[in-house]
Amino acid sequence: MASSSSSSKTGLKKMLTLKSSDGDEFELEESIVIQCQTIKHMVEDGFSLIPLQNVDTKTLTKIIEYMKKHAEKTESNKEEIKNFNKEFVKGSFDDQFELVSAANYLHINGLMDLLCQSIADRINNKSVRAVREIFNISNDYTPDEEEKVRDEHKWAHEGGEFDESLD
Amino acid sequence: MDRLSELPESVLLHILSFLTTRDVVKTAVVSKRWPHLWTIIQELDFSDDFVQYQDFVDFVNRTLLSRGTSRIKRFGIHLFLNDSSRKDYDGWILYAAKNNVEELFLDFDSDCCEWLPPKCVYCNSSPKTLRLWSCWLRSDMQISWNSLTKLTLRFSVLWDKIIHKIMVGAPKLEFLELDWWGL
Repeated sequence: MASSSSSSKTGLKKMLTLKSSDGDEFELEESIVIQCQTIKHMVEDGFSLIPLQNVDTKTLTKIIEYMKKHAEKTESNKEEIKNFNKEFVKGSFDDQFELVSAANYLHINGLMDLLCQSIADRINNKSVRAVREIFNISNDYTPDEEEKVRDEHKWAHEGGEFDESLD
Repeated sequence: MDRLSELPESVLLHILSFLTTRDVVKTAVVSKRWPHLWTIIQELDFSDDFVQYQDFVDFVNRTLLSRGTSRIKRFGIHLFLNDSSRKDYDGWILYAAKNNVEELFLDFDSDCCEWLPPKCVYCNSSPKTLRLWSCWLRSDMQISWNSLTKLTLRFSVLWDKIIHKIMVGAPKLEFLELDWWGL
């Protein structure tokens, strides 16, 4: 708290450095970075160099891109942010899973919602077979076990058409 | 293990919170990591996309029975009102109310405004968000919505007296939306 009041007095923007697990450093304005709850708490504890051991450079670059854009959010650029979000989730699943793990670790609520919604959209109304294939989930049930679980959950599968496509 | 199943349980539950409850229950069969997730999810969204109406009613009843008394953040139903299932609707809403639901969405389609909510809808201090469709709020009932900040009434019958009761009974209300309402 003391640091933000002193920066407003001098008119200088307080800068922070984020360090990825690969050792790369990124200097950013505090006002951008505090969207991330984990970092916000570290800043409050007086840190100005933040080591992020669970986030590699590739993922951190994407997360910084997200935070910079969302720091510009106002009443008048809602459409622009919406389009940005749409583009942002277009990466491969591997990238999305890296991002969602990092966003979870860093506690960036808006980004968590965006990524989880995007992954959920791929599951929505899909058949079990399609979900397995899309996410490369190996079926660890034996045929007998699967039959039993299917039987126990038959009530959810009855009376509906499910999408078998893989897009 | 695959990337999706490797995610922490809280993240998997966050992903599942964006799906209808039927899709969530279906994930039980995907792999061994998944069967219990649907029983602890706190967001329930039931939409009648079943061929047979009774299958839908059975599905909701069975889901609620199986999950016991886990806390509920969001409870949403979207269906076409059916006279023969009114007792089921009341039971579901009472279940949500007893488990401290924070967001309650009762989207009932109907040919006319004819749904009379059960008592637990009028006096409930858990919901912060409430949406009622095709609802006839009785003017002789007291309203007590102590936590409510957002209220939407759609296709509903509203008497002046009721509006007054809402204003008195929902002291924290910040947002009120009235859509296609009649007096």
